[in-house]
Amino acid sequence: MSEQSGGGLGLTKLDASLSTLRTMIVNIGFFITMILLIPTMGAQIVRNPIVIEPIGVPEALADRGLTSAVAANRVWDGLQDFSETAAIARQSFVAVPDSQLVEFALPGSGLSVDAIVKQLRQFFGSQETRIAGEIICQTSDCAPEGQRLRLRVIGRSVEIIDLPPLGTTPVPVYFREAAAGIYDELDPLIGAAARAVTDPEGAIARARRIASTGGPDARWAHVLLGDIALSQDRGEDAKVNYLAALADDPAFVEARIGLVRASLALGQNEDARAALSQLPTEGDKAAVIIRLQSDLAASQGDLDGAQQLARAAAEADPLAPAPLVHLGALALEAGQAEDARAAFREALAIDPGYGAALRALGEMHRAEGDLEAAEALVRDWADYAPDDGEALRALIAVRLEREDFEGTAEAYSKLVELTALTPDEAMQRAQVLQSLKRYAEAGDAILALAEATPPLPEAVLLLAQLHDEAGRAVKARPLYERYLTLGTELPGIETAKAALERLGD
Amino acid sequence: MARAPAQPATRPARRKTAASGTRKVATPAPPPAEPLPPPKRRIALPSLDAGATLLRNIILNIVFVLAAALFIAVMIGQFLYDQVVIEPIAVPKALIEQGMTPEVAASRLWDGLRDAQLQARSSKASVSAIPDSQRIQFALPDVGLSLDSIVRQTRQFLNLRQTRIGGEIVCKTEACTPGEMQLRLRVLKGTNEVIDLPPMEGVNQRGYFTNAAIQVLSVLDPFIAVAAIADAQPVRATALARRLIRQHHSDAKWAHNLLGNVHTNAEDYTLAISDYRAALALDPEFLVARINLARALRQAGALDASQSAYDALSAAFPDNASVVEGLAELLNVRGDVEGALALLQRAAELNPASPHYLARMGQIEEARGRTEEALIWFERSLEIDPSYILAVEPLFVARASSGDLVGTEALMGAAARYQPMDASSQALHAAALSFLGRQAEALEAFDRALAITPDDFDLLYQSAGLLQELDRVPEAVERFTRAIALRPYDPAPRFGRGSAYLITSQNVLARADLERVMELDTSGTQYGNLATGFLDILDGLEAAEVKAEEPRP
Repeated sequence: MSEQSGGGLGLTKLDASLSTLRTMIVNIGFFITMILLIPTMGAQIVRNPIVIEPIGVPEALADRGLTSAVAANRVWDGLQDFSETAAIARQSFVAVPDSQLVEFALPGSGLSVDAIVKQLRQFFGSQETRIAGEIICQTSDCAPEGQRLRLRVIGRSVEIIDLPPLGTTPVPVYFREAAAGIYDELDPLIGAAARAVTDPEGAIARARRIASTGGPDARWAHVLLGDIALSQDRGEDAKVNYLAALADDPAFVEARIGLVRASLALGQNEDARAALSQLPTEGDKAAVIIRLQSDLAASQGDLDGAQQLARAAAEADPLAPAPLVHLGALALEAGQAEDARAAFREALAIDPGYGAALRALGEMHRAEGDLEAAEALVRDWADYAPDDGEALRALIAVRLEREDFEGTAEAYSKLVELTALTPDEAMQRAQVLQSLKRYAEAGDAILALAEATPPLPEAVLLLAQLHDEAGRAVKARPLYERYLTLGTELPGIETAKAALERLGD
Repeated sequence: MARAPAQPATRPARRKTAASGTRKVATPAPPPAEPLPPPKRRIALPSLDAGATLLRNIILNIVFVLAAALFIAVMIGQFLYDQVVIEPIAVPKALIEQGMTPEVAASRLWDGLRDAQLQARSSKASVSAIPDSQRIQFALPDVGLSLDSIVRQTRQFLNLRQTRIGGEIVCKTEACTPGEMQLRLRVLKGTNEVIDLPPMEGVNQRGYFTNAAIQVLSVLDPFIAVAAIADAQPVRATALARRLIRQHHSDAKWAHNLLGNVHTNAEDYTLAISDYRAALALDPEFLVARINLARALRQAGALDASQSAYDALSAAFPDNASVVEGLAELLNVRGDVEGALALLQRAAELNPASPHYLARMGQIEEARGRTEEALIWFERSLEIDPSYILAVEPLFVARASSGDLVGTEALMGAAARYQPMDASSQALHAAALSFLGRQAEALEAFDRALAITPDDFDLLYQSAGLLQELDRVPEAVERFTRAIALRPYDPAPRFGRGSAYLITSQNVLARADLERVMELDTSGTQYGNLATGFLDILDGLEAAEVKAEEPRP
């Protein structure tokens, strides 16, 4: 009896506790959702990313894979590519393609959080910026010659960015140009900074305009003007601009770093020391600041101190080869050749293609007459960056210097696969192959030059000589004769005449 | 369980029975009545309903609590698991028609990630990436709120960004040939890393996606990417590994170990030893580096140091086959061949799936001149892996040098059948069949090899020769042409094609090829001389033709 009533009570109790548990779970879930949802929505309203909407494309392009979403992603890539070239530490806007946005819809209602956020933004008067546009072609097959991109930056007003036809421009470069237009509208400072190297005049004009408006970007514009002036060896101008930036904001680290650089460039060590003393030696600029301390020590003749500081700078930025090359240069100046060699080697261990270290160590090897070691350095570079034509050109130069014609021919055959050779390179390649008696290959290397309109006279003569050497007088003779018709003051006229005489009829 | 709701209903009936019993105390005891039948259980509907409702509530609550617990566990798992999602890769229409849909392209990239990890041959666990299409998608029915979006949003909010790989394949024309097909990938991990690949030209599709995967891994798991290129691009791998070390990456010890392996491959044991030691300085218990260090010390000739390293290892890991093998090699170097063989046998017992130890025993026996025993060990090694090169090679040499061509073919046939995707095994089998005069079968074996590596010059040239022997000249010409495209300045395939044209009386084409052979052969090889002879024949033929056409006087 009691067992039965106890069982009933047990079930009721179980039911009650399970109900409590369920309610608790529901409540906790609700609280967690609220805690997450409110800040998420808040963050979305505050963050306000610039949305790149799908770019309209003709069907022919979509068939090739460049769909609307892909084109929007390409604009996104272009924006990123362009902003990376801007050597400026200021944060820029965040743009996100429409397809990358996460849809967060509320159940059943068809109402998305995105929609609520949009409404709220409109209510608070915070305008959303969108980038839209289309690609239009002149022909139905959408040939690159008639393919044009037009973008619209839609904010409070609508700005149109019209690009010229694609033509032979590589697609990534084209979208980068589009991105430049977007930056000019949305963040002119980054637009100016990204042009600092390729178009300094344009960058200076843009930066001056920003600086003259006196807005929040004015101090950044002054720093940019200072950086460009410094790169053009105008130390005084640079200093004036950095001081102007510091007048706006005395705690502006970038401007003070620039001031130290400009003072060092002008040989004003005391000014540099004063500016350096106000910079923190810790934080994300530590490596740069230690490097500047090293430069100051070196300019004051304290080579040991400079070396120690350069080593500290290298440790603060372990992936940068530049401080190590600087360390090597200081060691060379102090007459410590072995230390210098070790520092250059360390720099090349991080980046076997780092030009300054390659040059410095290569010159050391050359001075010692060790061309084999110099070649090993360049060979490592070519192996490290197999798609880098410059590495192969350097390898060709050093192999020619070593009279390693087999190696030169091999490097040339790789270079041909990467890029088109200049006429001089093609002639040199043919001569190298000629010395290896690979006449057919040599002939093919210059055939286009000899048959061009107008032909390159040296190529015609060399082709004639190749046939001549290979014992094909029938092919050599007309080429020699053709060479003689190409000019009256050509350097090989005597050679050609002598050859024709020797070959007879 | 079914009785439970009926219990309350029986209680009043029982109480009534007891009360009536007490009231009858004064009355004389009736004659002992027959025992009453047990009271009938009455089932009242309301109480049944209440009980059933209670039970239903309990069941529903239990299910709810269980579901909530599972849901929370799944959500936590989703947050904690470092998952990389490969989203469908947008592809042009022509590729979709060929079956390469966006999901297939994503799966190919996934395969590439697996291949890259295999290429890395590293025992370090790498990122696990799964394509979007194969991922379990959670979605609550009738609600329209997907778990995926909740997880994504919450991860974004908590800054736990889920890594996503997306991208597209774009072609220059609608035909979308491999030469104009270009893949661009985006690795979204807080930042957007763009990976641009060159056009898919000169590489097979699998290799192309493996290259793409290596680049993806260089963003997500740099060490695996470095290890994957260590064999093909040692200089690049070395530089990238050094960068990992300099930035004190969590994989720095693996990078040191990899550098040690690269130096070992280049037989620079001093540098290898210093790198293995550097790895052990970071983690003294790093077993792979300890074994490698002991081996490198032996290879460098530091036998005592190697011995002490192996002693320490075998004390800690007596049943590790690699350690036992290392000790055996050390004994072998010290001249204790019997001891070495005994230890290798023990290693083979510890790791019975590896053919290596048995093949090494064969090599050691062969080195001391006991050829018969050596061959037995090689054969035992091949019982485990019929294509194991350390055993195949000496057996091939032994059988071929004794004139046992049938045995050689059997050996290579077994290797080729065991490794159907290994082009070199197929090619060697083809060569063996060709020696036996079984040209048709040899050609089939060459075709299998060519299906794996279509741009292999030697395979094309040799199979073209076989086709010519089998009188299938047009096919031979086609293969010679492909071989010429690969090596345009090699006189051999040009001569082969010229002679094929000559056989089929295509004299103009034959003359062009043979004259080109004369141009290419500047070092006086056989091809130049043969071409001269053939050109003389052609001259004779043409002179005879001209003579035949002349009107008879």
